[in-house]
Amino acid sequence: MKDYIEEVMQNATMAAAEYSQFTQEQTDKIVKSVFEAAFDKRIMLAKMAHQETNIGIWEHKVLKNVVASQLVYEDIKNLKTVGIINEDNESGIVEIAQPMGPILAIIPVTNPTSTVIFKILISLKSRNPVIICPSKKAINCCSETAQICYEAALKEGAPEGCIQWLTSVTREQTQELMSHKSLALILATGGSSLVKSAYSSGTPTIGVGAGNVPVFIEKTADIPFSVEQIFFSKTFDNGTICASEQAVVVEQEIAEEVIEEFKKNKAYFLNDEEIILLNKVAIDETSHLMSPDIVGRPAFEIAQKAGINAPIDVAILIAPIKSVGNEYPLSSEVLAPILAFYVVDNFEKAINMCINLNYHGGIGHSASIFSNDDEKIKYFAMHMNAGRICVNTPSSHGAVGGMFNKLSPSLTLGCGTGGKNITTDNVSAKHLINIQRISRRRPNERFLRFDIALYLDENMKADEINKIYNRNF
Amino acid sequence: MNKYERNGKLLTCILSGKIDTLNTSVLENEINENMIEDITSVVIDMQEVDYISSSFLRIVIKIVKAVSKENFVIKNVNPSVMKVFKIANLTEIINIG
Repeated sequence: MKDYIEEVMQNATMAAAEYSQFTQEQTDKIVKSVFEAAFDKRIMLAKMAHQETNIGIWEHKVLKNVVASQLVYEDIKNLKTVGIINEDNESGIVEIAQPMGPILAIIPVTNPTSTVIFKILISLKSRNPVIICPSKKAINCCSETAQICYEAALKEGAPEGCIQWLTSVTREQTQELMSHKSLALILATGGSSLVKSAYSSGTPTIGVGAGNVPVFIEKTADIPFSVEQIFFSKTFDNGTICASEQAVVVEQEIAEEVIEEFKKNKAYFLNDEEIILLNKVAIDETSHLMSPDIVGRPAFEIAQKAGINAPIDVAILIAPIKSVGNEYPLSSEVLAPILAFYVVDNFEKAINMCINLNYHGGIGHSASIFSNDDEKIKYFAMHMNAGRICVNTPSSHGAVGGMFNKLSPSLTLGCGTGGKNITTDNVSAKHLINIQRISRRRPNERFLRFDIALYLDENMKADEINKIYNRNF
Repeated sequence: MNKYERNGKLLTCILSGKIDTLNTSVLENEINENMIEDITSVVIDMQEVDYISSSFLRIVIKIVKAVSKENFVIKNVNPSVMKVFKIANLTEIINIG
């Protein structure tokens, strides 16, 4: 097993060495070729992912593949990632992009083919070889995707070994790769234990955090529009996007109208007994985490599994609950068409409820608001700990970016330090280069003319020093 | 145009141009033809080389395995190529001058 990992890493290291000599033009041709190949196979790969994982809806997985190929390509195609990428005469700083080296790309079961396409495109754009490490439940579709991308890359002269994929994944192999001395970076998209183990490997890691996205329908919101958008988002791929809405929060004043609108859209509001039944199948009692069995499954199937008599055409199961925490299991993240629903007295209480939801397993991820009051939107945003605050948009699509807003399209959503990540950005090619800065002499006149002996005088306090430092400036 | 000089047990390969994936296989054949049985030391002169492929790096690893580190030298490497050897982690197993 050791030899296999060594061979993979040697291939990646050799590819990194060769790739470091490529020009921007050569690199861009490779990226274009990979985008086109992946895009052309978007339907086949989506069907394959659906068939293999039994998660989500294949038509929606096609759209995910489109985002990962077409929209990501559009976003990165003009980005400078080779050589001098920025030159500023005034500051005397010239920025040079260097590749990082071999990247290990961990792929989740919920968005397998799209995440493979995405991570390959951003890695190749930054001249880094990539090793695809798929979820055990998505090995075939990920391997097929990687193979298609690899052939397209080779066709344009990419280095041999620039894309590799692991077809038999053991925990030990993953650990060994993660801590390999020649590995430059881990792009860890997956569950919290996997992300934590990537961070613990000693290799720099761009990870993601878990979400628990509150959506606040504020009373100035266009209610039918808001509900329609939430439906579109929450039913997308049966709710498998980690930025999908998890809990709706509404003020009492508009609650009835919102409920009616949800019902019109084939939502099923659960009673207290049904909520208890759903708790049992949706959330593991011990770990308080969502059950993998219901991830990405349709609402009717989940209802049946729970013994709930919902209509056959039900689109979303809605659980009106009172509070947030482990004693209210459905206040936690569930990547399925299930929504918690909170009615509160007023705006402040709504914000407090959203804060509670946000901090209950979703710190740093995303939050959503429907409102036509700019002040309230800003107030909401200020009080969330979220990398993305989506406004009047479906949060699944909004947070991923590129469709409903100008965020960088990405399948790796940084969650900041709250989510134990280094960035709140939508991760993309720009995060996969080392930037060197040539800094030309541009003297700091105030510092150079200052009598530095004054710093050695204990009687000189900050305000006095500042006066002298800034005199005649 | 690559040149090969045999002097007793020493083979000197004087390489030139861009060693990309396409011409690496030709190069590999040339080296194999010259690595006859009594060759125990190899020198590769890279004065005229400004690009190397990953497949060339694999050939280099094969040669070092065949003749050992002590009997293998790569010389006249320009900075661009030196950096490639560094990125490939080969400067510890190969004598590069």
